[in-house]
Amino acid sequence: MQGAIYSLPVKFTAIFLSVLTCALCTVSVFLTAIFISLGFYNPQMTQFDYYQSDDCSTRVYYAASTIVYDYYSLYRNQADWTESALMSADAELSAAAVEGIASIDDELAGYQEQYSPDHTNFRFTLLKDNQTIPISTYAGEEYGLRQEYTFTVYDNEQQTEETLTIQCYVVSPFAVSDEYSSSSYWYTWAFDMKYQMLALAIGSTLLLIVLCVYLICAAGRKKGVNHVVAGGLHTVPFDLLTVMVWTVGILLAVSMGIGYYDATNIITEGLRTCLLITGLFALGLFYVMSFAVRCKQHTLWKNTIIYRVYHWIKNGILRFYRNRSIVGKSLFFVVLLAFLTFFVGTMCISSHNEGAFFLYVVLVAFVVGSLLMGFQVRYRRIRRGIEKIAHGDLETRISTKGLYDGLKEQAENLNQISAAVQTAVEKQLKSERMKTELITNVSHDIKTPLTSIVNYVDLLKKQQIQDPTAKEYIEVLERQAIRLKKLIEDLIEASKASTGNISVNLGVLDTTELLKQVSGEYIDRLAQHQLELVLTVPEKELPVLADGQLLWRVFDNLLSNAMKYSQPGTRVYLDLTEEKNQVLIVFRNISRYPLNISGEELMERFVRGDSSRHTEGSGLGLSIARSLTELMNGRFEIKVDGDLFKAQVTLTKTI
Amino acid sequence: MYNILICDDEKDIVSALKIYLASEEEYQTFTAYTGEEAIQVVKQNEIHLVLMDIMMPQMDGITAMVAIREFSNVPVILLTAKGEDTDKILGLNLGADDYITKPFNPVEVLARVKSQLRRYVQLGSAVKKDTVLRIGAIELDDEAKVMRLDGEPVQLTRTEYEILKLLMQEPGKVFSSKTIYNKVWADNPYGAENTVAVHIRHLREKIEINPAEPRYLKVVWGQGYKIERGA
Repeated sequence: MQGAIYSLPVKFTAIFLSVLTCALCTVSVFLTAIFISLGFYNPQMTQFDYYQSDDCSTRVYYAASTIVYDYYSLYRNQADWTESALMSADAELSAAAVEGIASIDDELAGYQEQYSPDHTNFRFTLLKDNQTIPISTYAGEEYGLRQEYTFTVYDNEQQTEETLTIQCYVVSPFAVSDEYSSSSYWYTWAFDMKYQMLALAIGSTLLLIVLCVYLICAAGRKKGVNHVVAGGLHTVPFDLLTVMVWTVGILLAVSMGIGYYDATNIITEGLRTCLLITGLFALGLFYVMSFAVRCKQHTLWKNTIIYRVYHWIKNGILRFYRNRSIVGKSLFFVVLLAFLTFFVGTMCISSHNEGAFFLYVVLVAFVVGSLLMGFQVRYRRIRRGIEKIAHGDLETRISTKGLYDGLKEQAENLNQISAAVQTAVEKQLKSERMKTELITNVSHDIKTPLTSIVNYVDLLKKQQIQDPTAKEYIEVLERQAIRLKKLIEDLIEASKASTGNISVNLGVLDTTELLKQVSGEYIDRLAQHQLELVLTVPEKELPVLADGQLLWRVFDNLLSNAMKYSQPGTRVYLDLTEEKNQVLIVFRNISRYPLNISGEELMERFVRGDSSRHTEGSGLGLSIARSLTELMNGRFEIKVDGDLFKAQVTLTKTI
Repeated sequence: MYNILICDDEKDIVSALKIYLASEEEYQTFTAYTGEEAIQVVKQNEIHLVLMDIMMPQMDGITAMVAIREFSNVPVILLTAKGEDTDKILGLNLGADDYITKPFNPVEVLARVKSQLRRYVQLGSAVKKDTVLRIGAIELDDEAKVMRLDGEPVQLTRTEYEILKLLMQEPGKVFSSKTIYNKVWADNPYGAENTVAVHIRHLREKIEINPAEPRYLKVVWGQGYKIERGA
C-alpha cells in the first residue's frame, strides 16, 4: 500500500534533493542573515547607497592605513639611508646608501602608479604635519565619500612627534572598474534580490524539513515489504556507527579547514563553508535515518557493542553462576565480597578516608543482612510447604513467585511431587470408591434373593416334616442363610467405613454415659454366655467429639466379638481413663481360642482369631471398628498377649 | 377381616409374605407387582394396609405411596433392601407409617402389620383423656397405672413404668442416665452405675417389635435416652 512512495528511486531522489536543498538552504539562510545585519529588511531603507555602506568605508580605511603605514616606513628608511650615506667614509657603503635611496624613489613612483586614477576610483591626499603634500592622487573630482584619518607617529630615538593626515575620496560616479564598482554592483544586486533571498531561505528550509521527515519515515521501509528491513550500515553496531560518523565529521571539518578564515575572499569562503555544512548535513541525515531504522526495529540498544559486551559478560557470569552448587555460589559471593572489600579498603586507607570505609562496611553488612533475611523468608516458605505436604495437605502448592535458581527449582520439584502424589491419591480414592460402590450394589442385589431364601427356609421349618435328617438339613440351611445375611451387612459397612463413604455427624458426647449405655445393652447378653462385664468409669463426664452411632458400632463390634470368642466363665473388662487431653477406652477379654496372630493382622479384613472359620461372624468386625474410629479422628489399637485380647480406643477430649 | 395389599417386583417374596399373612385367618391378601398396579388395587378395593417395596422398576415404591396418599390414608409399610437411614427418613416423611428392612424376619413383619392395623382401626374410637399419654402405639394411663401397646396391656415393673412415664412426659427430650436415676430413684447414682441402661434395655424389649432397631425408645449414644416424638 505504501510501497510506491518508499521505492528505491524515490528515496534516492529524495536524498539527492535533500543534499541539494541543504546547500541551497545554507547559502540562502547565510545570505539572508547577512542581509539582515546590513539592515536590508529595514523598511526605512528604500534603496542602497554604496558610498554610505560599511563595506565602502571599511575598504577606504583599509587602503588609507596601508598607505600611511607604507609611506611612513619608506620615509623612515629614506631618512636612515640618507644619514648613513652622508656619515660614512666608506665609499662602498655610501654607494649602497645612494642606491637604497634611489630604490625608495622607485617604490614611491610604483605607489603612485598603483593608486593612479586609471586603476582605481580611490583618491587620496597625504599631509604631513598639515603642511606638505608628499603624495596626492586627488585632483578635485566629484566624490561620493570623503574620509579623513589622522595618525600620530612617535620617534622614540629622536623624541619627535609627527602627524600624518590622509584625506580619502571615492569618486562618483565610478570612473573605472575596480573593487569599489564591483562591490557596489553586487551590493545593489543583493539589495534588489533581498525578498527573493528571504523566500528562498524559508522555502528551502521548509523543503528540507519535509524531505528529512520523509526520509526518516522511509528509513528501513522497502517496496512490497511490510516490516522494517535494515541493510548496509544500519546493521553496524550503533555505538560504532556513532564513533564512525563523528570521526568522518571531524575529518571533514578539519580537511575543509574549519577555524581558518580568509576575510578577503568571501566567495570562496562562503562556498567552502556551504560545502562543509552540506557534507555534515548529509552525514547527519544518514545518522538520523540509521537511528530511525533502529528505533523502528527496536534494535537501537541491542545492536551496540556496549550491549553485546554487557550481555556477554552477564551471560558468562550467569552461566558460571548457574552451574555452581549452592555452596559454589556462596563461595563465589564470598570471594567477590572479599576482593571488593580488599579493593575498597586499600583505596580508602591509602587515601586516608577511613570514614568512607566504615560507610562501606555498614552498607555491606546491611546488603548481606537483607539478602540473608530474604533467603530465610523464601526458604521458610518452602519449609512450610514441605511441612504441609508432609502432613498430608496435598493441595499445597508453594508459590514460586520471587524465588530464584536453587530455591525455585526446589519449590518446583516439591510442587511436582505433591501434584503427583495428589493424583495418585485421587486415583486410589476413586478406585476405592468404585470398589465400594460395586460392593454395595452387588450386596443389595444379593439381599433380594437372600430374603427369599431366609423366608422360604423359615416356611419350610414350619412344615410338618417327620424325617429327622431333613430337619437337620433345614437347620443348617437356616444357620448359613443367617450367616450370609450378616456377612453381607458387614461387608457393606466395612467397605463404606474404610473408604469414608459414610456420613459422620460429629457432636459432643459423654464417653462415661456412652460406656454405661453400652454395658447396659450387653450385660444381660454376656451373662447368658457366662461372661461378666466389669465396667470402670470415672465419676465425672469425659466429653469427646464423635458420632455416637458410629462409636456405638465400634463397641457393639467389640462386645459381640467378646460374646462369640470369649472363654466362658471369664470377665470382660471395659475401662475408661483420661490421659492429658486424651480419652482412653480399654477393652479386654480372654479368648477361647489361642490367638496366634498379631493385633495388626487381626484387623485385616476377613481375619479371625481362629483360622477355621467355622464359627459365626464375618471377620470384618475389628476392621470396621478401626475404620469407624479413624473416621472420627480417633485411634484404634489391638494388642494380643497370650490369650488376652486388648483393644484400645483413643479419642481427643474436648473442653 | 382385613384386606392387605402386598406389592413387590419379586414374585417369590410376594408369595412368601402371602403365606405368612395367610397364617392369620383374619387377613385377606391382594398382590401387585408394580407401583401402578398397587395404585389400581387400592383404588378398586377397600384395602386396610399396604406392604410396599421401595426398589421397583418403572414406578418405585415411594412414588406409588405418594400417589396413594393423595386419595387414601391407608397405613403403608415400606419394604427396603437399602437399609439406608436416608431412605427410611424420606419414606416416613412422605407419609409411610413404618418400614421393614430386607432380608426380614417373618415374625417382625407380622408384628408390624398387626400393630399398624390396630392403630388404624382404633384411631377413630380412641377417647382422649388428660391422664392418658399417647405416643404412636404406646398409651400410658397414669390413673390406672397401665401401659398399653396397640391397645393391649403390657406388664411393666414399677421402675420401668416410671422411666417410660418420665420420657413420655417430654417426648423428644434427651434424658441422661443420671437425670433418670435422680428422678426415678430419687437418689444419686454412684460410680459405674448402669442400672438405668439395663432397665431401658428391658423396657425396649417389651415395647419394641425389634429391640435392635427401636422405633420409640431410642438411645442417644453418649447423651441419654428419649422417646421419639412423631413415631
